Amino acid sequence: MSTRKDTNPKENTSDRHSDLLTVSEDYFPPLPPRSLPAPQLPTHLPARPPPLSHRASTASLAAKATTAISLPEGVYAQQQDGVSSGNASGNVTTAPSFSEGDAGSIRSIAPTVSTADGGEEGRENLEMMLSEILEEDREDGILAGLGTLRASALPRTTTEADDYSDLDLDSDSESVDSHSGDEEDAAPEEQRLHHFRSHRKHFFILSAAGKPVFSFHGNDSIVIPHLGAISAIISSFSTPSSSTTDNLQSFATPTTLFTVLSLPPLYLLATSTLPYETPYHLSAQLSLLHSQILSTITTPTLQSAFKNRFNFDLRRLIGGTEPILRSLCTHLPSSTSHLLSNALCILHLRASHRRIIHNMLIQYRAPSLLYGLILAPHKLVAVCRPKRHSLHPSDLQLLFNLLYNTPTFAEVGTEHWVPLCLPKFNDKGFLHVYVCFFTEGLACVLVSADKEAFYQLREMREKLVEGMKKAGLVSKGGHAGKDMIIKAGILEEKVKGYDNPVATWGVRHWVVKERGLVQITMPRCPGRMKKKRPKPEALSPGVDAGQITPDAGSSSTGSNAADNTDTEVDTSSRYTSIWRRLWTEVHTPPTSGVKGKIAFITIDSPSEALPESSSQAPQSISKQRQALLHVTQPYEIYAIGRKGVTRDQMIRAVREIVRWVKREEERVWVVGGATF
Amino acid sequence: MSHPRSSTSQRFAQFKLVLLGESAVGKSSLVLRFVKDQFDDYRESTIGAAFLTQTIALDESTTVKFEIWDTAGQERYKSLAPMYYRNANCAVVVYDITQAASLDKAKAWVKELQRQANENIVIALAGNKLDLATAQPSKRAVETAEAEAYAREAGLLFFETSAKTAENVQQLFTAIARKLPLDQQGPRGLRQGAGGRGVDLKGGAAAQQQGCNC
Repeated sequence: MSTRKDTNPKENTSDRHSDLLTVSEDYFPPLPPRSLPAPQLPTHLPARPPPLSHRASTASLAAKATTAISLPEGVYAQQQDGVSSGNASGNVTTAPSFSEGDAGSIRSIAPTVSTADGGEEGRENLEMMLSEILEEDREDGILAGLGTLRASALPRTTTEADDYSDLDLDSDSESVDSHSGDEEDAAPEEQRLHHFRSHRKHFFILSAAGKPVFSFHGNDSIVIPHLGAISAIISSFSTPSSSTTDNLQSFATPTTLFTVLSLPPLYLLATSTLPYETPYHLSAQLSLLHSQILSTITTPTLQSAFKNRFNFDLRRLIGGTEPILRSLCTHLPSSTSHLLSNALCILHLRASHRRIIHNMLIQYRAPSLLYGLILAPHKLVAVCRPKRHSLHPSDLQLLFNLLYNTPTFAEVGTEHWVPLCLPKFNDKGFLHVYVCFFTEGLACVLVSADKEAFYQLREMREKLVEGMKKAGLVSKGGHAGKDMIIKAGILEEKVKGYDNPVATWGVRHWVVKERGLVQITMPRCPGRMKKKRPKPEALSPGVDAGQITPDAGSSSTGSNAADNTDTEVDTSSRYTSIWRRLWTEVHTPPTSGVKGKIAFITIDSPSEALPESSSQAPQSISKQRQALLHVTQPYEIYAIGRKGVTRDQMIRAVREIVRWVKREEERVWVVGGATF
Repeated sequence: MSHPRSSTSQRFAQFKLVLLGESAVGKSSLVLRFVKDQFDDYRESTIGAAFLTQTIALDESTTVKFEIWDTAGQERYKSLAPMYYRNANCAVVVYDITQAASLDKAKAWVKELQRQANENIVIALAGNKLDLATAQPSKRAVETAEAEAYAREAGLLFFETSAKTAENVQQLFTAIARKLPLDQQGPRGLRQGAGGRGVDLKGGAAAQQQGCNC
């Protein structure tokens, strides 16, 4: 127990947690798996699900925005509140309101192209940039779907493919089917509709007039009737006088959760049949989609487009970015980083190596540089920034998605110069981003407010890469190869510390989030697992003492037929599913007040048992896995044990992990980065 | 980047080239074919602009390096185009021979270039996706003669190209290189022009290093 205290000296509730960590399993009240969230009354939901306000308030305690390279979640939550403060009646103030306390770190004083106030050139730029499109009148196709609005057009109310309750570490993949437009286009209408409805997740973005902006799946002929239904539902719950809290936020059918994000002039809707996704999760996903649209066109442009014409077709303005939105839809549900408040994943790197890179970022800094980033796949290696500015996690999430989830930039040697709005930095103007993958997977990203800065940033990149080669951090060889990496960095399985916790502590996988820095560290995902049986497996998502809610295993008809052909499944999405489940355990109101600091769940291996076996006798201990979330003041620790590892052992393992993270502090976190 | 051997008879020149045209006509594919001799059937839209370089040998003693700005065709990027063509020595305006409207867009670009860009700019008109019309003549929406007549009238180089089969791609860029004012100005002349409307300064510096080897 003293160890426990050592690792969290400031935690005022550590005593209680010490107890918590050793008491018997029964102490932790079993919670039902929440495949469906509580909200049932669409009109009376709070502005945000309760978990968020909980998070926001706790997180803000740890917030030190200006020393972190990114902003803590508390700020994010406040901004989100700002976002939703508009009402759905058509008022057009959706720009995030910046909370005063953090204004310095959020609002930029750097000159960006702005249409809001001042910046004459910027105004011209934006207007020029979009005038042709904005002026062009297109009246066709408005609400074509409204005419065909039928009850049956409501998405996914009663599809037999709705059951995906058999999610588990050893079960079918949770990974969200990626877009398969070609298949859909080729099939006959009815088949396409069926296929459309069989997807586990849907994302729709539509204008307040009901015009399609983006849909994850389906083509116009399928999507538009649904949009008619969606906008009818949303608008019937929003009246001119209604405040945000009265707007429709979320509703659920027995199988499907619907969450709405109403940010006029856009409506965003997500549906999910994945267990343990709550309105909070869907709302966070939608919020990032919205940010992606802003990053393409900025808030003022979005507003003015619809100000002039209510039924404007936004698709022309965001043309070409559908693959980016689609990759967000595909990857967000399984992204650990996104799940944990868009926390930045940091590349484990020797402190002295990181210091060399930071020094070079400062040394070679181009005059107009705003931010400089060295990135490894989905991970931050090094960053330099002005003293007064931080990067917001969700902006970085968008950047990572752009660079690593779409093939557009990944070509080694090609340089890119991209006007990009980072909505949480400044949603009113563009920054210009120099992107160059100088070797496979490693990118140099240099951000400037000056659209003419390309050549100076290019020169900076040349010096940086040369410098890293000279310092031996990047091999001098020509092209890709496993040794072409930042030394001791990318191949984390080679970093001793990462192997040890996984191998010797009985833990299969873990994630630690530093809450103040909004950063996470985790070992490489333990490989892909072969699916053991082609047959749909019914799992009892046994949560503690065998208490299983009926809805989790009730109507199992097995997994999606399409998945049965898969032999390999994406394990990372399974882990994310378990993290999400743990998160929900901790953040669900019934526990949050009392003991929302730690949660255990038991994951049973697939058995021969059928779905109705929810009340079957507990399986032998050796078949079970324990998963654990422990929330302390500085950290959130998520861990999944190997089979047969007991809860006591898990607690010891988590303690070891924390100790390891503390020891490796300088390697696993980037505190502040280089500032100038 | 390859550089020419230094010898007294070597000439090295560096030119800035910009690709313009409607989205999805194949600008990036043309560049990819030219620079890497590759082709992707499913290539995603360019975001912003991509910057690539390619060096070609015109003859034994003459090497031309292109600094290529491959711009995105979406209209929202239109206002950024001047940044890319402002100091360009040459431009490739691309249309899709299976989309008649894309030629109109190309003509608009040519007009803008002739009005706004470097007055000596060498412009080539490229009707891309020739492979589609070859395989299925009914897909052709722009007749060769029509585009050729327009190009002659407007003083443009003209090629129908296929990034997919590589047909006329190398020829297109070689023709541009040949038309560029190598002889009148030579590399040094080009550098001197850089301060005004010629090559970009940074590019000029690179060329200068080469020149010192002479």
